Amino acid sequence: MAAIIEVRNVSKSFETKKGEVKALENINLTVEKGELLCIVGASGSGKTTLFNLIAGFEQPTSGEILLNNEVVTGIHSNATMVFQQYALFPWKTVLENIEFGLKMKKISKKKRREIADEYIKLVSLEGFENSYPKELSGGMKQRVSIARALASDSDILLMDEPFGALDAMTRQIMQEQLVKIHEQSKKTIVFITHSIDEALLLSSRLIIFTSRPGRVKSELINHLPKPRTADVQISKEYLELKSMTWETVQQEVLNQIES
Amino acid sequence: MTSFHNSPTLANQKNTNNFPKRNQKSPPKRKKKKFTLSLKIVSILSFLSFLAIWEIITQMGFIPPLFLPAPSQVVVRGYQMLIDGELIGHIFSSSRRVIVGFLISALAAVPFGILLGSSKTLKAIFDPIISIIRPLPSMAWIPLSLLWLGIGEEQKYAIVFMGSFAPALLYTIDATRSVNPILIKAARNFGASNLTVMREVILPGSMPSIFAGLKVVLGLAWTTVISAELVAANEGLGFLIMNGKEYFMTDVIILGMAMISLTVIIIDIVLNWVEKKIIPWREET
Amino acid sequence: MKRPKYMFWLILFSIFFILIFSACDSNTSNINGDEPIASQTITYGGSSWIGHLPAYIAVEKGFFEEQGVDVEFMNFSTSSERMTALASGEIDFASTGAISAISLMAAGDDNFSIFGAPDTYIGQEGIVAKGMTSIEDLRGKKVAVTFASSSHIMLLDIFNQHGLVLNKDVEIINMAGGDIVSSFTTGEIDAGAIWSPHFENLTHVDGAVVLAMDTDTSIYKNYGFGSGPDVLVIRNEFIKDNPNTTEKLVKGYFHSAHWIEENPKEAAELFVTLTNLDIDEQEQIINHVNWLDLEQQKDMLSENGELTGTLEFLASFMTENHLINNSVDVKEWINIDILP
Ligand SMILES: Nc1ncnc2c1ncn2[C@@H]1O[C@H](COP(=O)(O)OP(=O)(O)OP(=O)(O)O)[C@@H](O)[C@H]1O
Ligand SMILES: [Mg+2]
Repeated sequence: MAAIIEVRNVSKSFETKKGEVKALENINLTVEKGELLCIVGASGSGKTTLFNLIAGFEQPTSGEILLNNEVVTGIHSNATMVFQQYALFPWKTVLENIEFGLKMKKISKKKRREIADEYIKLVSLEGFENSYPKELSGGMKQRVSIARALASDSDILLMDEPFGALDAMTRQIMQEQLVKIHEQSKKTIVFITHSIDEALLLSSRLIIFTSRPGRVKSELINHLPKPRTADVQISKEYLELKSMTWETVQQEVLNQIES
Repeated sequence: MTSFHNSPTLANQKNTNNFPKRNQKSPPKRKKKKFTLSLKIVSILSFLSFLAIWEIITQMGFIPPLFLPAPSQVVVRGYQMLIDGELIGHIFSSSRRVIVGFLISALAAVPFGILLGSSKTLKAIFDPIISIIRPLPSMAWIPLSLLWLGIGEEQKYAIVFMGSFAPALLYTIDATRSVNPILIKAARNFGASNLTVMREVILPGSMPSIFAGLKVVLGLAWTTVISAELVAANEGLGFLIMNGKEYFMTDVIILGMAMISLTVIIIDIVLNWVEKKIIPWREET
Repeated sequence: MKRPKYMFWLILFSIFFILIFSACDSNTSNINGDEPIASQTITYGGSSWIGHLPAYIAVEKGFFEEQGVDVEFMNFSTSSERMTALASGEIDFASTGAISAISLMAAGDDNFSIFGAPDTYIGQEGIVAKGMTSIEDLRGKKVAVTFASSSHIMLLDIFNQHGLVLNKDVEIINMAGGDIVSSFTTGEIDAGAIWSPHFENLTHVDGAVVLAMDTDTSIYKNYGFGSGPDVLVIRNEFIKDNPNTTEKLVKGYFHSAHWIEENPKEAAELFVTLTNLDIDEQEQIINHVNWLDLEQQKDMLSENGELTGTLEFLASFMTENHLINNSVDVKEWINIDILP
């Protein structure tokens, strides 16, 4: 398989009033085409920062990032981001928000509407097409943000805790939808989550970040059989994987709190 | 609101009907309306008692009307001037000066401000000039405006303009800069060009703050009306007040002041209505 | 649940009431309370205008001191500001423009009296225009004047005489003296009505013609006063509380007026510190003025005196022209009993 994202020796520090903050330290990471890679790590371990570097919003302090073998030097539209803070345009309706990526691709109005309708159905927001974001709950906003990213149909999706604000039921359904989309479209998805269960359910591979500064602590190939039904989730294999991951993450979270 | 019950699920799509529809009046909303209504009544009562206390105190005769006339006296004077058509003329003249001066400054300041707000270089170029103009009171422009524009209406517009341009510009620059950077990132992430970002994100995103700023500036524009009508004016609320001072007509002075406040209040109501129409998506803070 | 809320408002309003009352109490005592005793400093409201010369000289030469009263000379830039200070009790007596005094009467203030006039000075005051020869030529033109000034009255008087209707036949514009000169120079206005020294500046502009002078007004023709004569005013409260001091004050003042007639040069030398004029020029002006003495005051302010007539004429003129809203019986403010 071909590498679609390559992160090479990347470090990132921020200059703040309190001095230099090291967010990422010497990250090396390769994402294969069609992978669904989950990243787990304590809060503040630099996960969002890594996404910002991949999307070109910021430049690494050292090292480089390649997308389809090209060095990322600035903002580009090859990897669509689902922002942790939704980043919906408050002045656009649900429909207009979802159509935004398509509009940027100069897709005709009629076609835009068709595609948007499809994704509105996918995230169950029928009847809210003409609502403004201020009229939506947090979870509904998050779904709009997901629909907007999916609708734009780019090869790479960078999803930053996309299901964080959803209730358990909706979350489960959205997870199933995502797996389905991934299987059908062969998109490359990098997915940040705090939930180990979610990571185990979705991923083909799992990466655990150390606490700040973020480094790749361990990597895990997820061979759990698909579909990962309720049966799979109570299997011995699943529980072993979960406790192993949990131990690693716990250690890092404790480190984080102590420091 | 974001409870489990209200969330639609794919498993049961019909559930979506349980969402409160936008147009439906949901109970919490109505409660809020009732509350704001009672607050309005409190405001009105407070204003009426203020007038009543003022009336009682002045009627008791401790204070000569030269120093503080009774509100009823002001109302009577207002009524007389309304009937002979004089008052409307004053209100109209001042309103025209303020609105024309303000519109010119808004038309100039908003595009210019958006430009300066989005380009650090341009801002650096114009910063010194803005810093020089900003602290100047509108009154200070009277001599130069007379030399350059003479004594006609243009001179009055210019005084209002000079008093409101710099604040309108600064508010716009601030508004432009206050657009959430993550929205700009999101747009760029979808492949928006600089121009598209300007049109799709910065312009609409800065609108609420620009509008809020312009509302403040319109109030400021009214404060310049006395300066504007200090020279070569025979009409206007500023003239009314200053001329009332020459003839010790305290009721006329208070009438002029009250008319300025009243006009500003009415304009504010209109603006709030316009704001709701053109920025329906505004998030309440 | 309702009750405490109601109580809250009740308490709030009571506090509000008490605050306002206490504020107004202190106010009223300021306005109507006991006034200075003789030993305190008496304040005169003046400016660098020639009409204030007797008071200024009396202070500088110690004529008030001789009488045993201590007077302070306080400057005001306009008559209306000076009269506001008189009405609020900040000054005790003053010389001031009759128009302002009559306006204050019309505003219902009866706490002051007129007891004289410093002079019968007719200033250089007139209507200056460009490119015309008579008042009738002003039809359809723009004329600038300072509202509520003597020139304003002069302009209205002369327009009345020539049958010109304001803002129909002629557009009149409210401007300060200096602004009239510059707008006349740039051609922004067609004519200006103004007093010295702006008047002279107007006449120096190329093509300027004097269309009318103060001496053409009906006031001057009938009473020999200018359209904005100065009058001497004093607070009634002050007279009531300090009858003896008032007499001494008046004596000191008119002694000074008499002294000026005899010593114009020395008076000029003292007054230039206020006016910054050339001493010779100042002396000329002082000589040009007809200073009125104590005896003349009584005549002029008698039932049929010229000053009484002038003030009555002015008051009814101002009412007719809607400059003031109420008619005023000037005689109620004239008090010559305090003249010794
Ligand atoms: N623009 C910035 N300026 C300064 N410091 C920053 C900036 N962005 C991130 N950081 C710092 O870098 C570190 C990593 O932040 P980041 O947002 O990447 O964490 P995260 O792993 O996404 O956390 P979370 O799970 O809470 O979202 C934090 O300590 C944060 O304070
Ligand atoms: Mg994050």
